[in-house]
Amino acid sequence: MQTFFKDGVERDPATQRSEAIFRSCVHCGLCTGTCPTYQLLGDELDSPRGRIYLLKDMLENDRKPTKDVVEHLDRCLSCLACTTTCPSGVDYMHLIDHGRQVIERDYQRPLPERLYRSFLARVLPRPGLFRWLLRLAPLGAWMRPVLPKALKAALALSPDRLPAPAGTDRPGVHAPAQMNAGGTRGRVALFPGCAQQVLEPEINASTIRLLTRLGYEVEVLAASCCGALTHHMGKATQAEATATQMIDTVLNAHDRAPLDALVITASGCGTTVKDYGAMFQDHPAMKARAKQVAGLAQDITELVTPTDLEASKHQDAMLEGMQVTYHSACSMQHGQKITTAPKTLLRALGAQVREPAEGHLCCGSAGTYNLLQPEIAGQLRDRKLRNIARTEPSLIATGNIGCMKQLEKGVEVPLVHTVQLLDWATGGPRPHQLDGR
Amino acid sequence: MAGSQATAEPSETAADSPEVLSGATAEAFSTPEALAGFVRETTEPLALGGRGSKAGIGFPVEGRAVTTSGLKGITYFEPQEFVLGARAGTRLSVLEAALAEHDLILPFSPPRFGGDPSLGGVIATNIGGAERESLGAPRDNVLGAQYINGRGELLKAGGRVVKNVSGYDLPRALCGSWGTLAILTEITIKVVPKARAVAQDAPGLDAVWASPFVWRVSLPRDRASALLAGWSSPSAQQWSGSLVWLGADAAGANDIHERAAALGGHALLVQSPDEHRREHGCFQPLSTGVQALQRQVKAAFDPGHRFNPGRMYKDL
Amino acid sequence: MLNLPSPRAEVLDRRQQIARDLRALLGRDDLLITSANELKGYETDGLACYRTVPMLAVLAEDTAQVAAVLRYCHDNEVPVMARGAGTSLAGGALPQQDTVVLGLSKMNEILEVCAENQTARVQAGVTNRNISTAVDDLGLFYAPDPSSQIACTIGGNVAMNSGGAHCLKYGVTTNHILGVTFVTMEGAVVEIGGEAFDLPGYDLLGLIVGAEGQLGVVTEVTVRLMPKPEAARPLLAGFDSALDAGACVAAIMATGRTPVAIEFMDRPAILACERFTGAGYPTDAQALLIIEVEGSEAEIEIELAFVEAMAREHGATSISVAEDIVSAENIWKGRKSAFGAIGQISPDYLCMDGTIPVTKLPDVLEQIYAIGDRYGFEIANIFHAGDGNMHPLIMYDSHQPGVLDRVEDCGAEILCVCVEAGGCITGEHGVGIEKRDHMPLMFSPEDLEQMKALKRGFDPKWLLNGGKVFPLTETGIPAGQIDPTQGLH
Repeated sequence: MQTFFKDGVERDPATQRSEAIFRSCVHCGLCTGTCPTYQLLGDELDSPRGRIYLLKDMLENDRKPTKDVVEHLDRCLSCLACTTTCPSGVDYMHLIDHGRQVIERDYQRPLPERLYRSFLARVLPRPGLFRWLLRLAPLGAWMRPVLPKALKAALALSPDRLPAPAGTDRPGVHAPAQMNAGGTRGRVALFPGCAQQVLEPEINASTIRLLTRLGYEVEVLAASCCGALTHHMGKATQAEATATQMIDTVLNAHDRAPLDALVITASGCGTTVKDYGAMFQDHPAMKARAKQVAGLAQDITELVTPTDLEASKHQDAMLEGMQVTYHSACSMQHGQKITTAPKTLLRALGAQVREPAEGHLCCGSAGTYNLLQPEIAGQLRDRKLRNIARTEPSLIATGNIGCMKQLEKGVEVPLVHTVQLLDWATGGPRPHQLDGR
Repeated sequence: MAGSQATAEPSETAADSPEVLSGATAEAFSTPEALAGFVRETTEPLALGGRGSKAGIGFPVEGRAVTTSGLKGITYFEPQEFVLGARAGTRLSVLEAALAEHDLILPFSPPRFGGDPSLGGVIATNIGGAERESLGAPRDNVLGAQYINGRGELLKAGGRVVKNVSGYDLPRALCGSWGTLAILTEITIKVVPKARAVAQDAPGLDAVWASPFVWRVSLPRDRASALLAGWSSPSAQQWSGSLVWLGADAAGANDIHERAAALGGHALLVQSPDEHRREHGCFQPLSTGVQALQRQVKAAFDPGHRFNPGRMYKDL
Repeated sequence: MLNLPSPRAEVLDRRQQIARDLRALLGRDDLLITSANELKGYETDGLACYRTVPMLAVLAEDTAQVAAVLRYCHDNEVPVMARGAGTSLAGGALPQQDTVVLGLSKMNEILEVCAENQTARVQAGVTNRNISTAVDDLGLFYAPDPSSQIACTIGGNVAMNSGGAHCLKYGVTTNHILGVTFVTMEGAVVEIGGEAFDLPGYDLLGLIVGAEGQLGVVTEVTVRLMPKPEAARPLLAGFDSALDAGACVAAIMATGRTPVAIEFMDRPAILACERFTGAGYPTDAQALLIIEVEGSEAEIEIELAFVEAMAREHGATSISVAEDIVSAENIWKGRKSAFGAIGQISPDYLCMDGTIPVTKLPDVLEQIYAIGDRYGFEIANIFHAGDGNMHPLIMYDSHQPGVLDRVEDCGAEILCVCVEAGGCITGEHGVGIEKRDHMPLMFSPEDLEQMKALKRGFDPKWLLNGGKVFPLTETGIPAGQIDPTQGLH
C-alpha cells in the first residue's frame, strides 16, 4: 500500500526497512482472521493490520508514540499468527519489533509500569536471581490484596513447587553414550535457557540424555539468556548486549571444536536466535557472527529424526497408543514455522497425536505477555484450555516453557515438554509430571 | 444484445387467450411498452394476473383486470450458458419444450395448480416445487427482470449472468410479491441440465388437493411431526419434512397460521372457498415490524397502491 | 480520482456533542473511538487506495447497542456506516468524514447450531470460516466461501451478497440466508425470516442481502448449512495460453457436468501463490485451472477422468490431482490467498469483479490483456471461471504520480468490455464506492431511481452508508440524497 513519508527527510535504516514492509502490505485484512487479540477485542486497532496502520502513521509523520498507540501495540502478543496467514509476506515481526523499540526509546511509561518492566527485564534472564525471588513468592501471597494487578498475575503464575537446580545445566561437555563405527553423530551445543532451567530443569536433562543416547556430544553453554525477553520489551540495547554474550559463547565453543548445531529447547528462544542476523544487521562487526549462530540454531525436534527414535525406541513402547495432544507454541509454528516435525516424532514413537481446534491461536503466554497483559492472557489461556480439553488427551506435549507454565495450572492431565517424551520413549526416566497418575 | 437468440413461440391456440381472471375478461397487451403505457394512462386499481392458475389464492382484488399473458415468447436463450429469458406471459409448457431440445429443465419444478402457469406467475408467487431443497425456489434462480412499476415506468434490474451484485437485488424482491409491487414483463432465469431423476411430488398430495381447504406449510424440518400430531385429515410432506401440505374439510383449520408460526414456520392457504378467503385471506400474518418494512417496499414500487391492492395483506 | 462526497459541515461541527451523547448512550468509554490516531485505522478497507478518516467509531457488543446508535443517528441526522472486518474490495467499508463507523466485529459469537434442521444462528461479526469450522464435526458446512472467508464476516457477506469459488455449485449468500435480525435506521429491531425456507410476505431477505448495508444493519443471521460432500478433490490443469484455458472452461460448462468449482489463474498469479503456499502449481504454465469435483470416491474418479479428458482436449500441458487432504487444502489456500499474494509482486492493485457469459471467456480475456497493454499495466487474472466471474487485478505502484486516475480508467474499460459481452460490472464484491460511477453502464437513470426509492423508504434522510452504489449527482451530492436541484421523483 501507499506510504506517505515526507520527501527529503533523512530516515534511519530501521525506518527505511519498515517502510519497505508497509509497502508489501496490501491491506487485505486476512491477518485479522487469525489474530488472537482481534478475536477477543474486535477492534481493528488490535489487529495486525490496525497496528501496521498505527505504526505507519506514526513513522510517516515522525510522531512520538502516544498513549493510544502504545496501548494497542502493547496488546500485540508477537505470536506471529499473522505472518503465517499473510499471503503478501508482510514481515510483521520486524515491524512490531521496531515499533517496540521506538516506544521504549521515545515514550515515557508511567513510573510503576516502568519499574515493573525493568524488574522483569532484570530478573527473568538471570536464573540465580529468578530462583531466589521465586523462593520468596509464597511470602508474597499474604501481600496479594495490596499488590498491583500485574504483580498479582506474576504471583499467580509462580510455581507451587520449585525444582532444585540441576547439575546438568552447568557448563560442560557430555560425551555420547554410544559411538558409532564412524565416531560420534556430531557435536552440538545446548543452550540451557534462563527461566526454563529454573522452572523445569528436566527439559535440559532430558535433552542431554536423549542426544547423548543418539550418539551426540553435547556441550552445555555458559550463556543463560538469548535476549528474547528484553528484545520483545523493546529494550534493544539490553537485548543486543545479552545476545552478543550468547553469540560469543556459542562461537567460542565452535572454535574449540566445530559444532553441528546449537540446540534450543524453548521455541521462544529459538525464534529470536534464528533471527540474530536481523538483530545485528546494522552492526558491521557482529553481523556475520550473528548470522553464523542463527544458522546453527535448531529446535530439538528439528535435529532429531524419526529414524533416530525408531532405532532407539525402548522395548516397553511407553507412548504406544497414548492420546497425546500437541500444543504448538506460536514461536514454534509461526515464529520458526516448525509445524510437522514434533508431531511426526511423537507419532514415530506410537503416540496418537491430536491437535486442538484453533491451534493457531496463542495460549496467552507469549514471553512476558502474561505478566504484562494478564487479562487478555487469561482469556486466551481459558480458550486454549477449553480447546485442549475437547481433544480428550491423556497427555499434553508442547515445546516451549512459557506455554507449559501458562497452561499447567489449568489442565487435569500431565503437561510435558516434547523432549521429555522423546527421552522417556527411548529409555529415559518417566516424566515427573506423570507421577501419581 | 450480442449472442441472444430470439425463439419464436409456437402459435397459440384459441383457448390460451384472452386470459380469464375472476370471471371478468382481463385486458391483455402484446408488448411491455403497451402495458406500461396503459399503466401510465389509467388511474384505477389493477387486478393483475398471469394465466390465472393461482387466482384462488389471496384476498380477491377489486380492480380493472389485466393479464400479462399477452406478453409471450422466449427472448434470450443460451443453452451453453444455461440462461433463458422470456416474456412474463410465456407458458411453462412452451419453455419446457424449448429447454427439452437441449436436455435442459427448469430448476424450480413449480407446482402447476392444475394449469399451465405463465413464467411471470411462477416468479411473482415464488412457490417452490419438489426440487426446492437442492435447486432452490424460483427466487433462487432469477437472474434479471424487466418490470413496470406503479408509475408505469418500464425498468430493468439484474442481468443475464449467474453472479451479479450490481445494485440492489430487485428481481428477487419482486419474487413472491404477487403482483403487488410491479408487473413483471420479462424474466431471465437460470436453467439446469436434465442430468438426473427429478424429484417427484409428495405421495398423498392428490388426497390433500381433494379437500376444500389446502394449506402449504413451510417449517424447520424437525417440527413437521409436531405439526402433524393429531392431524387426521389428508397430509403430505416434501423437502425432507420442511414442507407439509394439509388438507381440511372445514374452515376450523384456521389456526394453521398460528400453529405454523409457533413452530417457527409459516403457512399459505392455497385452496379455499371464495367466501372464506374473502374474509380471512390466505397469507401468514406478520409482525408489526415486518409489516412496516413491507409498506415501505410497497410505497417505493407502487406509491399509488394500484397493483393488486390488498391481495396479500390489506395494507399492501 | 474518484470523487468522494463532501461531508456535511453541520455534522462535523457537532462532533464533540455527538461523542458525548454516544458515550452516554453506551454507558461506557471503551466502545467509542474518538482519537485521531485510532480513527485513522478505520479510514479504509480492502481497497486501500480510497481513504477517509471517519468522525467517530463505535464497536457495538449487542443488537440493543446497534439499535440505540442507529436511533440516535436517525434522530440527530448523523451519517452512519456498519463495518464488519473491513475486507471489502469495493470500498464497501469506506467511511466518510462525517460518518460514525458502527463496528460489528465484537459480535462474533455463534449463538446456536441446529444439526437436524441444518441451520446456524450467528452474530453478524462471526467470520465466514468460523461458521464452517463450528459445524465441521456435524458433517455440515456453510457453502458460500469468499476468498477472504478466514477474515470476512457474515454480516459483510449479507451486505454484499458475497460469492466464492464453490458458489458455482452451491449458489451465493442470498441462497443460504434464512433469517436475519434487522435493525432499521429508526432503531427498530425486526426479525425477518427464520429457520424455514422462503419467508412469508415480501422477500425482504432478498432485498436486504446485497443492499450493501444501505437499508438497515443486520446484527444476527440464520444461515442454511449444507451436508459436507463425502469427499472432494481438486485437479490442476496447466495451459500454454490463457485463451486455451478459457476455452476449456467454456467447454466444460457447456456439457452441463458442472464441477464444484473452476478457478482460473494466469501466470503472475500462479507464481505469487506458489511462492506463498508451495501447493505445487505448475510454474511453467501460462494459465492454470483448479477444477474441483466431489462426491463418492467412484463419482470423483469418473468426474476427474472427464475433466482431465476435457483439459487435454483443450491443450492442457500438465495435469495433476491432489493426492490427499493436505495437498487439497494447500491448493485452495493458494487460490484463496491469491489477491494478497499479489502483494509480493506489486505494491498496489485494483481488483475488478465483472461477470461475463462463460462462452465469452477467451474473447474477453484477450481484450483485457490488450487494455492492460494499452495502459502499460500488468494485469493478473485470478477468477471464478465456472460462473464467468472475472477478477482482473490491475497492478500498479501508488507512488507514481497520477497513476490512480489511469488505473481507474483502465478498470472502467474492462468493465465496459464485460457489460458489452452480456455481463455485469460486479459479480460478488458489490458496487461500493469503486464501481458507483459505472452503474449507468448497466442501468438507466429510471432503473437506478427505483433502487433509490427503496433506499429512501428505509432511510429517508440518507444516513446509512451514503456515497456508495449510486453515482453522485452532478452537484456532488451523495446519490439519492434529496437533491434540492433535482427534487424528488
